Amino acid sequence: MELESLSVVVSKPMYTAEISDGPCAYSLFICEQLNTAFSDLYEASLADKKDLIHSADLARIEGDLAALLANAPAATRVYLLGTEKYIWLVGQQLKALGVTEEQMEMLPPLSAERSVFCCHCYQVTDQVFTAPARCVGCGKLLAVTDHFAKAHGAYFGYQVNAEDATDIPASVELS
Amino acid sequence: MSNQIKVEVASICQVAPTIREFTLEAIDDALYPFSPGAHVVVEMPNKKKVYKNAYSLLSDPTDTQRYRIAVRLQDASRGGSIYMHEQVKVGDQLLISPPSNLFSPLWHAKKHVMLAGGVGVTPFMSYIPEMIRRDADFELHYMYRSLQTGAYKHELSEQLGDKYFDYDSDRQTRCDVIALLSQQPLGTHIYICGPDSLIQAVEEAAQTLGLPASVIHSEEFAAPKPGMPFVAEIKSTGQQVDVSAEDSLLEALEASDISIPNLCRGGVCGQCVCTVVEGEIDHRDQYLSDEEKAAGNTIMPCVSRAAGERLVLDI
Repeated sequence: MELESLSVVVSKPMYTAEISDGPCAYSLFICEQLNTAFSDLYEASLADKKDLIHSADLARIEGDLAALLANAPAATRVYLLGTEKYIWLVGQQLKALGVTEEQMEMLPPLSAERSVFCCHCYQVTDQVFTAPARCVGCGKLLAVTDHFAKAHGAYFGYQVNAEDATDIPASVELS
Repeated sequence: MSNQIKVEVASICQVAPTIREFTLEAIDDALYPFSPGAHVVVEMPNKKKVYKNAYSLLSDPTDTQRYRIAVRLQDASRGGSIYMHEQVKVGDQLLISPPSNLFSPLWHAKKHVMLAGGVGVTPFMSYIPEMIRRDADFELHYMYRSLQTGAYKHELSEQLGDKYFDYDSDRQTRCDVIALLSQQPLGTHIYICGPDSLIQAVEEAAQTLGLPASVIHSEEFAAPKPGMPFVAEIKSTGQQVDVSAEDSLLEALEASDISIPNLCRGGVCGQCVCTVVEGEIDHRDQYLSDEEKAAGNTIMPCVSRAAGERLVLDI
């Protein structure tokens, strides 16, 4: 019964390719990989001031954001492109600097991969495409839920065969 | 209600041409400490009926010996503010509700910008001591008409120095809301207390500039204004309740022994919401969204009325 109640927790974020281009005084574009659509979006921005950060290095981004947003106006809008974990972890850095979720435009993630947070050892396993998934921390076989943690950019995972180690469910591709 | 607090009016002073300040002292026990932005509902036992109006507390939230409130004599008052101005004397006892808060500052904000219109300065009077204790970055922009309002302007100016800005529309100084908002840094939260026109002007400016709606906060207690009389019908019992021009729907229901949970009685908190199954509504509250108002099937009976002659309530 407990498993059923866990499996119905759905907080999987929804993304839309329709980007709201409302008014703003400063627009900031942050991407893990730069594609044409994103650079077109950057070129088309009519904000008085705009910047583009292209980096997969979260520590570097944190330093860049602190410098770029130190004197940013309240009417700032941020566009994010990358894997789901990347956009949400950068989102956490932005939040700490005073950017609200409404000011973040998250584009659909570049792939269907998920990061999975293991509730047994608290490690996050990246690049998960199928469920169940093997935890990189404790090696347990994890069920991958649709319960998403914004703080980790990861989905909640729990051991799928705790009662019977030989009971291994068929692998399912995640979407 | 049993949780009401009995207080004594310790002093009354005129703080602006139309605004009187009342200092309320505890009679039995010490008063509750409260959070900045809190209000109390004051019961005014007028001859014909009991008025209950919400007033922001303007004393330091840590002071449990006394509360201070300020009451503006309202042009379209049904009697509440007239009662406070004309009937209440030093030494009188009043019943007030415990403090509740629908307008608390968001302490994670990088900067706080307060916009006060007239007597709307009151909640910010309780924000300021706490902002100073926390060493928060803040500004107060105070808009008033010196022929009517403008309470505390001298002491605020002296206390706050360059954090204080004032605009007296009786002296043709006006606040350029667009310019003010566009100067604000990322992480600023905006608090507005004042007339609906001010709240709307700030919300529109925020939208024009691209500020997120979640950083704009406002509160305006609407003392229920009179309107046309109408009949409220109770769907479950068929009972007909006459609502006079002077009574609010909530008061008329209470007078007919139909109790509705309520808190602020000023169209802000949302406690008294009722479902309407028939009849047009004249919405006068700050609680329902524009979509909910347009849908026309919910009403805040503390301030809103029927637009026609009859409303059927699903209670």
